[in-house]
Amino acid sequence: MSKLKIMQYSLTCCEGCAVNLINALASMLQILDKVEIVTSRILGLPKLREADVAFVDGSVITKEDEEVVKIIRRKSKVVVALGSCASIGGINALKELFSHEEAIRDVYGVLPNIPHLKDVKTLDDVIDVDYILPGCPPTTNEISRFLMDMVLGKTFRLPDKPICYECKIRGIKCLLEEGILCLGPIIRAGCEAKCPAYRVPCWGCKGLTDDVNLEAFLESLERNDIPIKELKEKIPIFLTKSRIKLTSG
Amino acid sequence: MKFLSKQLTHLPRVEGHGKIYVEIDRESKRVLRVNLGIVEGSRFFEVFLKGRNIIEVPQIASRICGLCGVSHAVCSAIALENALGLDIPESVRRLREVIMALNTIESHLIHVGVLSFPDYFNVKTFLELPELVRNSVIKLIKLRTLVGKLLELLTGDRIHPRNIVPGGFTYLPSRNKVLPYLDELSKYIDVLYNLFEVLRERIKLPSMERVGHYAALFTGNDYPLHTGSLIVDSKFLIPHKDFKNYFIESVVQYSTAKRSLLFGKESYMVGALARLNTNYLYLAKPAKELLNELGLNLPSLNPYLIPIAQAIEIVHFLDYIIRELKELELTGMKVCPTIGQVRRGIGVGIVEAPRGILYHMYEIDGDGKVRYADIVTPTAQNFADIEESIKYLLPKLLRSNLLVPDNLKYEIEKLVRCYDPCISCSVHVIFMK
Repeated sequence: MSKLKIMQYSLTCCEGCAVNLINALASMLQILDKVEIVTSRILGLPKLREADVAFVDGSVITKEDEEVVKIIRRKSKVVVALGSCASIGGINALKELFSHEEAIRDVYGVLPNIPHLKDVKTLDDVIDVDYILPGCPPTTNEISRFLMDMVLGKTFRLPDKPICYECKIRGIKCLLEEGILCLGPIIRAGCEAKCPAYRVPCWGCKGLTDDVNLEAFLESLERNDIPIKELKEKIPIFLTKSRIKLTSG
Repeated sequence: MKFLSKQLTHLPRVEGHGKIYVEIDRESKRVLRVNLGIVEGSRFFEVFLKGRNIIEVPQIASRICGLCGVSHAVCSAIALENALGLDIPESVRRLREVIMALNTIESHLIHVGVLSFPDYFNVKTFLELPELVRNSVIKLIKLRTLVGKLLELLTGDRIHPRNIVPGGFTYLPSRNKVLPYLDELSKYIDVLYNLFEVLRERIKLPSMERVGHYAALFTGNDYPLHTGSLIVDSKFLIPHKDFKNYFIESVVQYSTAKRSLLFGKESYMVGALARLNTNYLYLAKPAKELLNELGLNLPSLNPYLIPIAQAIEIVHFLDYIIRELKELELTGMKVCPTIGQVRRGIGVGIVEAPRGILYHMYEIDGDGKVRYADIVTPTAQNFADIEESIKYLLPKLLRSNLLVPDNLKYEIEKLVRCYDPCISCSVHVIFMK
């Protein structure tokens, strides 16, 4: 059996997803002889080579980012948008709440010589993407599961249950019922409920579930005396680019 | 062609996207220009932190960096506590120091083992290292996995900590979950000690006795990561609130990252070697022994010693963490902190991230929202020093007939990598009023 050729490429981001991909590989010593890392700048392999699976984390923010992802698409059989920035916009997309010119003026005072795009783009704004693996960052367990499926030639499926399911099976106390705004009911599971487990409400880094029951969610907020104003403030943290628009209330 | 111009793009084995532009006069061999430019896009954290509720800030700030998220979270929490005039219990302070130390070890292990070892043996990746060394690196990776798991247990996630907020922690695990790690970790002190000993025999470090400045935190009784005063060249104390008056930033056209200069004029070094220069008297016993064995002459600004300083710090902090966690009672902190009365204010936080001094400043309004944010990262402070080191090294390389472009490129890359630059962090660094 030939080895699975892996490419890792980080666009504009914190590279935490890349670190967790490496963490996942380091914890799966049993499959290390079945995979070969062909491209990874951080590991000393900067050249873009032909790959079976390309993991791309970060956002498309510069023109160069845009060019590179097109090359990656041509060179890879499967392209994975790794992490919230690449798949749903994530923290990077918070900038979309401000005007591009205002942001540049605020940070630099002058305009540096960099070909910035006006918008923060996800990977599938630019190329066709085969899989998304959202999360800030996705857990090593989920990345390992994904890698295993690829090695075995299987199709990977994201869970389509909400975070609440993760909390229930782990016996984590519900934050909503304590009057704390948590996006758990409308956000995709797969993260092991890391935030609620440490008494931090879900901010939605995994993105929305396929079928969001927004009405029921709003009802539960009302029942627990959580003002909808708070929801409007929370939504942008990871979901600036998501399809949910709160027009009422 | 009169000038030899060389542009090195996308430095391998460095976190983030950087390029170096070098221009040399062919006849006189004079170095005309050295520019370390950053081509990574800006993410504008200081912009979108505006208007956020202060309780959310440490978690958002942690997303600046995938290698030192802990430092950004703790630094922002301290800055906000200072803005609020909030006192925190000693136990919270001690646990934060432990968490910072774990993050420092994790970050150093990846740099020392995976990113810089290949340079000592002139190979491209750690997979090509001689078998003996590669086996040592695998031990380092195992230690890193263990440290990462403990960090995850203490903070909720090893990349972006979840429980750090102004005032303390939202949640902590029970002590009996932590204790089993300590026995495991203590086995590694001897392993590391032997490993670095063996490596010393095989590594020839180039000397580079340049003059310059260095800055680190200093308490006078320990090796601090998030307490104490800022001190330059182990002599001049700089009050936290005056940071920006001494370390003055500027924008350069060839980079998306800003850079800082001491008094707006001179370069300075921050990070493991700057800390070791400042605080080597306060190292734990096994680390002090290692320092003596290695026979380093301190203070030094030789960038080739930075990975060695990191190795000494790994041993020191491992010893420190084990001692602290044996003593610390976690249960007393297991409460969601109450911030109490929110008030307007301005606060500064300065910590030692793995790569050196990190500065966060926030102005908050009466509703507990951020009005203004300013962040200066270690790598932004090191940029000018990296350029100075390249300028120092280049004439020597040119004299030694190394001027095959590939060799020149490789030697410069090696030098830059010693600094362990973290480019993702540095790209969104400044805010101008």
